[in-house]
Amino acid sequence: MLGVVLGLSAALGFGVSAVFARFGLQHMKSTTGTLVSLVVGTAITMVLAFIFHAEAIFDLAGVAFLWFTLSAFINFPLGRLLNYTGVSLVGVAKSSPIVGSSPLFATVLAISIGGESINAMIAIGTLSIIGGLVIILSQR
Amino acid sequence: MLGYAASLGAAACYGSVALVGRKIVGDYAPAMVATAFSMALGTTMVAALFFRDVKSDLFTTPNRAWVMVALAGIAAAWGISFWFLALEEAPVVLVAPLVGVSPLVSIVLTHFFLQRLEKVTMRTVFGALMVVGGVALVTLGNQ
Repeated sequence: MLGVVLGLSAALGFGVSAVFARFGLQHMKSTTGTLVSLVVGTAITMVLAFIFHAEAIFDLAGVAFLWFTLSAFINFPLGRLLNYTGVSLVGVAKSSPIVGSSPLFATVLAISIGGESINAMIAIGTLSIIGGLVIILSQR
Repeated sequence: MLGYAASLGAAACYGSVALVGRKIVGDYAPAMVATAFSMALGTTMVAALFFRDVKSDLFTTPNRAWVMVALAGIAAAWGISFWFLALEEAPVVLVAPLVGVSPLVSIVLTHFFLQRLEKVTMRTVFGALMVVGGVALVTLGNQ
């Protein structure tokens, strides 16, 4: 039960974040909004990381920072900026479900590059995601 | 069209980074540490690339807009933190579909608080339900 509450709380956080971004991005560029939201979010997560995982932080291998850099580049100058640009141009209601389809891309990469296999549930889920995207994207 | 392309691009990026994240968490660091350092490096990159945009917005943007995007950052950090806490209490097969309903949360909040800016259509709701349901199935199928 606690896991369910925490999971739904996480969904609430992400959902609310998109709405706040929509409000703010009326008056500033997506790039500015991305940077400001990142600065605030980074401060909070860094404090929490040190509170809960200080020992793991001081034990980090140097090569880990190369992976952090790759993750950072894909996630933020690309991912969050594209996310906020979408919110700014088409609105939260249309962009959020599209961005929320990211597990589909993860699955496609996992199957095509990672050699993972597809099963009926993944296939049906994929069709459902694509169908939902078509419905949203085909709106005028 | 550009907005839709941007949103799809964001989805592709977040999907790709999930694979990188799996490698990091598996071999190098706890998830929250990886996220914190990734965000710190990402902030540095974004600042280096776009500081001129910030300068140009600095004196023309109303204060409430700065507050709103700061709150967006806080809410995103809240989402990330509770995601990790949820994963400590329940398996991924349960947590991931729950977190995946965040677009529905956005749509409900948009309907109540952003009516002046955008209209939520039944088509959007139906499409979002199909996406969220599909994400749940894909997540379950991956376990």
